[in-house]
Amino acid sequence: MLGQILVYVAFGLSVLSGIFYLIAKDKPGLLKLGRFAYYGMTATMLAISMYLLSNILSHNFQMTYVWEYSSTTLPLNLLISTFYAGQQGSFLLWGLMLTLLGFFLIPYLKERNYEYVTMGIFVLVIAFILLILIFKSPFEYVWETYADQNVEIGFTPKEGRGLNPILQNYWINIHPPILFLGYSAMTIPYIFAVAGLLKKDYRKWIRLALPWTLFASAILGLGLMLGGLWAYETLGWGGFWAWDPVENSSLIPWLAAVTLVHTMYIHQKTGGLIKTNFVLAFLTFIFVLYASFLTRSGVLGDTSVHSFVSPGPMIYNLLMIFMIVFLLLAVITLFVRLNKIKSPEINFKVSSKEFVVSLGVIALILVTFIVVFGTSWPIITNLIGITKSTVEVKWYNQLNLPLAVLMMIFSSLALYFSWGRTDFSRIMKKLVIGVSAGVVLAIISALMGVNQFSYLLLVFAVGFSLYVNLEFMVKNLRKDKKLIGGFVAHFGLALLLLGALASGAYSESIQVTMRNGQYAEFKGYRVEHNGKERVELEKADREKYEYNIDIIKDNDTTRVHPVAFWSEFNDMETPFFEPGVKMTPFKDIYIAMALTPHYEVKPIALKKQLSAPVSLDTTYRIKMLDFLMLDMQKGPMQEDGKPKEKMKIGTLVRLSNDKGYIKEDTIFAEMNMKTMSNDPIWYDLDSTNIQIGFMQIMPDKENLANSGALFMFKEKGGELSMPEEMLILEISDKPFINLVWIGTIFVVTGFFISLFKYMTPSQLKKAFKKDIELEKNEEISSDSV
Amino acid sequence: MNKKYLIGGLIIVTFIVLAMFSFQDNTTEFVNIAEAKASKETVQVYGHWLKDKESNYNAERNEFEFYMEDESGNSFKVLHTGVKPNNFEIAAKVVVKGHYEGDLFKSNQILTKCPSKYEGTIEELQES
Repeated sequence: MLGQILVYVAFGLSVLSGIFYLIAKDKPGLLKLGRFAYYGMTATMLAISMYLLSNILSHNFQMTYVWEYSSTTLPLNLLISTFYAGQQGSFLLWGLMLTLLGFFLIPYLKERNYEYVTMGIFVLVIAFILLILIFKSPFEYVWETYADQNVEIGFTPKEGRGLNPILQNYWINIHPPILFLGYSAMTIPYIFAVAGLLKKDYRKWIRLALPWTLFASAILGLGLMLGGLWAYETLGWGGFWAWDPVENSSLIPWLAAVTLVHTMYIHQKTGGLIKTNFVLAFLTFIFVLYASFLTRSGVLGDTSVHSFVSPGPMIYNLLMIFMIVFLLLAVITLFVRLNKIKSPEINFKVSSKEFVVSLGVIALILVTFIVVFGTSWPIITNLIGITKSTVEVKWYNQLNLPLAVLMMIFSSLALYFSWGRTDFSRIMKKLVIGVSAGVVLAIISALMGVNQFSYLLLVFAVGFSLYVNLEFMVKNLRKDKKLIGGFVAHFGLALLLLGALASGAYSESIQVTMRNGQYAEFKGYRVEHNGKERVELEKADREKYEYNIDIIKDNDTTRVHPVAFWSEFNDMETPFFEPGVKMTPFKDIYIAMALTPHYEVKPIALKKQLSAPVSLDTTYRIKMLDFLMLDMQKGPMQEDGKPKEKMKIGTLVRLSNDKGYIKEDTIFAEMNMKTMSNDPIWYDLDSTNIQIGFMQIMPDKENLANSGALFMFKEKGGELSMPEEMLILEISDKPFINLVWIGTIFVVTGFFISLFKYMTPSQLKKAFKKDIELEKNEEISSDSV
Repeated sequence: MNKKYLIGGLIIVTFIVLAMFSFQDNTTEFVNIAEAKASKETVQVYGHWLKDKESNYNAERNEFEFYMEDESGNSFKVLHTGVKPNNFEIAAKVVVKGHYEGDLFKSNQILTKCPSKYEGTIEELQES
């Protein structure tokens, strides 16, 4: 009740704050009220979050959300993460991150006299998320959720359903919050652009939004790659990126934001591309909304390895409205002002830096388009009414590879080009070393076995880009450290792409099965299975084993621990697996695991009227006819009134061979009533040395009459061979995978360096002066017309 | 014609043409098993696992064999290269990707869908 009231209060305050901010033109009093309402909303938002968290921590399973995603067995860090494990909580986290960002945004805007309207649009976004929380509340009680099922008011489930074991990992404390902070920051370029249009300011907003766009790109980029690292470390499909719709939908806004960073940069230097900046700033946020629509509305249901919920038409419609409202707001404001925007007719010469950077921007836009199109394709097929289909992973790789080559070449060339016009004769000489670096790297990789032309081309571009950016990094480090952000980021991107190519296209793998004590050879490594240890014994809800896999080369042994994890979450039916990874500087040895039982003699499970060959002599067949449960019919009690511990059961079978032998008989067993397992009374198969045992009833939960029986076989006098566990290991190497992680660090660092460059007051003042001059000039020129 | 538009336009047009040409070969249709039989191409079939019928993993050949029923209610045999996927037992829906050959569907990728575990159900609530 309290939680829901707080959500209403926060929603009310957000609407109030939005209205004040939107009508506060030249009225500092109203601006102040808007700010107060915002602070009030912030406090309420914090209260809402604390309230949910306290309910999670105190295991209040009366709340459906708490019951659905947490349990008393979770450790504190995982318990906290269940805050955002479900949809409602993740909307709350999104709203909370936005609110907190606004807290930093207000002083920034106040200082620059840009608070009016801008904050109004920002609060509107938060209001929308609060609206979703009103309709899909994390504070619903179980008797409200299941109102039509007669759950009595006050009912408290004893235990929560718990968190999906796949997610039970410290990464869940890191990756989602960063991702949501990135998503939230992506709102900021949008609100600046809309505010700019409404305030008839067509340039200043670009400078103001640039540091925030850099921040958003850095954080979302980091979040994306941490997700990749998480998948690589614990999911066991061997890569860090799979072009899955869920990954793509976060990549799309990032690509748009990075494109925007570049067009903002061109604008800074030339004063041009104003309309392009507007459109890209809009797209960045619209793509965030599109991403949340794709991943939360259930539209991509059967096309992704991620599990989606169908949240019902309510959330679908709300997210659709969310997207349409903010799209319309952008489109309408842009159209109203379109004629007023006077972008100076800057003539990009082919030999100018701005032109080369623009080409890179075109490549980026094409990449964005490819990912948007590919991800949306299943929806598009639905809309245009053709057979539903999905896009293959290799389509993304094929098309993005040449674009990546172009991006790296353009971004490196641009460094040598001058704004306005470039004297080619002067730069040709400078290019020689960079091009040679590319050629050398390509030759080295060719010697190492890279034999595809397109890959060699990529390696060349990487080499070229690495050298050029390094050269400029070193040169500028002495002059002004703050200038090197772009070089650092591009250097990182080149590393990342090289790592992606090497670890993706040149990973080799073998599949082996082994029992305890066995080993396999892989590329000079000996991979040994040396048993397993049960871990986390104190936790009753799981059976978790760490396997001891030794990876031996020469005299060096590394032990890795792939994990098999049976959890009550899925009734211990199938285990969850985690891979074991041996990390070395130049390549990882990656071991993904699965299990299968191994029988010396194959057991046979039969349903009524089905038959199968007898395992030790396949000229015989066994057919199951029926069960005999004479003891069962006498009731579960013994004659002296005590419950029976054992019960004799039988199964009627027909035994036959291909020489005309047919016999119908009953095979008996004593069933232990506690464990439901059988002690077989071994049945001799006529004129053979084979004995048949009725091991177990295989119950059919839906229709007990359809239950089956499990038979095992052994030789007379021999021992019954028990199943042995076999590991199925996929052993692969991941050459230069570390370049991916190192590259990411460079890219993110690069963004942050540039961010600080634009955040320094002197830089901003300089920028403002330029803006004011430009605006004056425009006024004069339009007056004279 | 301005040279810069020519260069920019050329890049865009080249890629859109390239994307369109490579698109056909790089999409996989969702079909039912009858259509899969007729097409021989790589397709995806949506359905569920027939738990009653036999299923078997062959460790030496790394092949997993099982029976499925598609959305139109027709059952068929699947030979999947690879291990039985995680969560296969609890998957409400299964998507197999591959092609039809001989009398079985040769799959090289299985997606399992377990939506039932994501949100609670009344049955689970009553059990607790």
